[in-house]
Amino acid sequence: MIALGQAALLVLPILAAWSLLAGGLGHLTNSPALARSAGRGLIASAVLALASSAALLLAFLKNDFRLEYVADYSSREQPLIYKLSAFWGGQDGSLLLWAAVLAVFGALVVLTTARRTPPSWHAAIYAVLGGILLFFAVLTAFVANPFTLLPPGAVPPNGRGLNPLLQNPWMLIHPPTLYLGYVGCALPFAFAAAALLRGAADDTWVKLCRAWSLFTFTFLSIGIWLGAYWAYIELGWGGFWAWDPVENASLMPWLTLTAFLHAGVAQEAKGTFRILSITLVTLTFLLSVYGTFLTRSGIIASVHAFGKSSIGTWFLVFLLTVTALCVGLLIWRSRSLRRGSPLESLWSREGGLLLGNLLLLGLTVIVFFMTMYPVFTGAQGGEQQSLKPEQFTAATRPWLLLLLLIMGTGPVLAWREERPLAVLRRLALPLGLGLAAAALFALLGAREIWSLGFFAVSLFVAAAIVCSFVRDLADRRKTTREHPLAAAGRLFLHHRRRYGAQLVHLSMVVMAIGISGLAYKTDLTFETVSQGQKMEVAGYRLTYEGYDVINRPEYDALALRLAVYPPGSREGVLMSPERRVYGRAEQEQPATEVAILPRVLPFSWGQPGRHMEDLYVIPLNIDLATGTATLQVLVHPLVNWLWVGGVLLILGAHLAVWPPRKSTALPRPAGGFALEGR
Amino acid sequence: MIVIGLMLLLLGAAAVFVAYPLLSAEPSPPPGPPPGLTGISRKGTGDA
Repeated sequence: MIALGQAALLVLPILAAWSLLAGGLGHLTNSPALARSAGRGLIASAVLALASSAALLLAFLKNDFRLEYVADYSSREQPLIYKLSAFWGGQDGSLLLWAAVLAVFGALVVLTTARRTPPSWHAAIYAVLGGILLFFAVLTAFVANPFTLLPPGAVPPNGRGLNPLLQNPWMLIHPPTLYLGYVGCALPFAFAAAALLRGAADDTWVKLCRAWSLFTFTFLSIGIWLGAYWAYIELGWGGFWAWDPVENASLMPWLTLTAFLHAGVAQEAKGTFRILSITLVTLTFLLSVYGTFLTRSGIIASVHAFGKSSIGTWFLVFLLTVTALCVGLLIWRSRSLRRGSPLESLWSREGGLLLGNLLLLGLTVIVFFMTMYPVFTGAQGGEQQSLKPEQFTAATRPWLLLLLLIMGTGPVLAWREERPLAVLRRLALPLGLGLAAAALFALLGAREIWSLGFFAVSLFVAAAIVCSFVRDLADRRKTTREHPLAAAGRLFLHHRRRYGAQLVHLSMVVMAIGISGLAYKTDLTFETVSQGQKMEVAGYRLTYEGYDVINRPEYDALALRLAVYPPGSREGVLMSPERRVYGRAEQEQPATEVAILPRVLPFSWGQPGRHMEDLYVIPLNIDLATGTATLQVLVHPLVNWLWVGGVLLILGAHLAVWPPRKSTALPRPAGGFALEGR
Repeated sequence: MIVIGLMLLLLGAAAVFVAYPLLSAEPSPPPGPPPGLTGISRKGTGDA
């Protein structure tokens, strides 16, 4: 089976190269046969990449330590799910996963999207996809091959096992989801590049790649959200977003893709923003590769990095080559791109979308330069200096607030030109509600200005979304006389993309409330306690009762027993944070398993920040000689809103990506939302 | 050796698969108007 996996992996670059060549020639000669052959090259590549992946997975399941990669990332006692997730636990396997996902996406484009795409587009799309796949296939076959065999005498009886931080059920789902999003960035790019190759004379490509763009947005969002949740519950530093370079690297393509989804709406509806849309899609793809470059090159220290390796050079060369080609193509086609419809008025839906796009782009630029700051400081000969998370937060917060504001305002604007007074009339109620809520919180004792700002704007946006829906509902009921619930259900069903987008906007509001909890003072206590000793943090009473020793096949652990009484409660809860030592020989530092006590209710009007908070306990040290434990105890206000927002985001994105029903749709309601053009 | 053998086998199978559209492609139509248009032309001149 190893031989088959290796053989399939070595043939993969040849097929990818064929797709590039046949697609390129097919485009130049306008030959349908060559285009079909290039498409078949992508389908065959998917079959080979899947065969190779299956072979590697089998090697993990069979503990085949003849493979260096399996010996490095798995062990006999490793539970089954971590044997599966070890597949992408290291550089070689994750690159194979990347190539396999790309090949499968390529095949799906051939088998599905191509049917709805004019045949004259096929060759160019397949050539671009073949070119990108060729790069990853060459890397995984010749630079980071997971099928490298150890010399017969050096095969170990057992493997080293997966890094303990990665031995978490989320490892099974977070990286593949993020990869689906990352690799998906290549798909809208392939359509955009094909449009440029074909002359960029029309806006067809935006419509052609819309489903793939939404699909990519969905998975990128889920991947980022899962990563934040995983960091929060597993990494044990007490937060969900540390502005780590690799976190930022996943955020940047998300920002530009979000911008494209909105610019694309205007382009599709009104033929505006041609240059902006195509630039945003190109940037999204380049940033996805840049993110991979950051992780693989080791140029910046990060918890996600694979360590320093020469593979970064390959990515840099690829990145520079693709950038040069794209810039060349954009300049070559600039005349056709400029032929799009001009913006008639800034005070219009298009104006709102443009402003939102500029804010998203501005945010991307800020995050990019702040992330690269260590490289800039290191380039001057000194030691790399990173910026602190608080500096990132301070720099990005105003942009996020403005983005939220535009999220509430933009969708109620009409296309082409809007009367300012009409907009103010439509927004009067949401504005009033937002301001009233902020005033109420301020009167009740909330003093943090940013938190109040986020509360007010979040409530304004939520009210704007609800008001817009109520208006649509009333319009529909005027003509259909349906029961309100039936009318609401049908409105959702008939305009899935529109209301999916609204739900995504609403999820951003909910998440913004969760994030604004950071502006509250987080109660933080470091304390060394002996058995039976009590401590109090933000009204929580904790008693350290002792510890238990746990022996599992994959790790040994000391689990603390903490009796916790939440504020105002007489019923105690047992929390058990752990210090674990895994079986890896080189594992010196014990891993930390935090304990989290969520407190969803009751809602306290006097302390709005206490709602949906978590008590978060990190065991820093356990002294076996004296039995004392050193604990870090934090209270995270509002943090659970972030996870609720994530669930809403996933629901909304799925609703938006779900294809619309064609036959039964009623005329579109008067107000319009972002992802649907009128 | 096994790897090389398997590679050749996979490559051969893939080559047949990808080359099929090229081998079975109908020759490109000669330049000029499509056949349907000549019919219309005859109709127009009263030949039909």
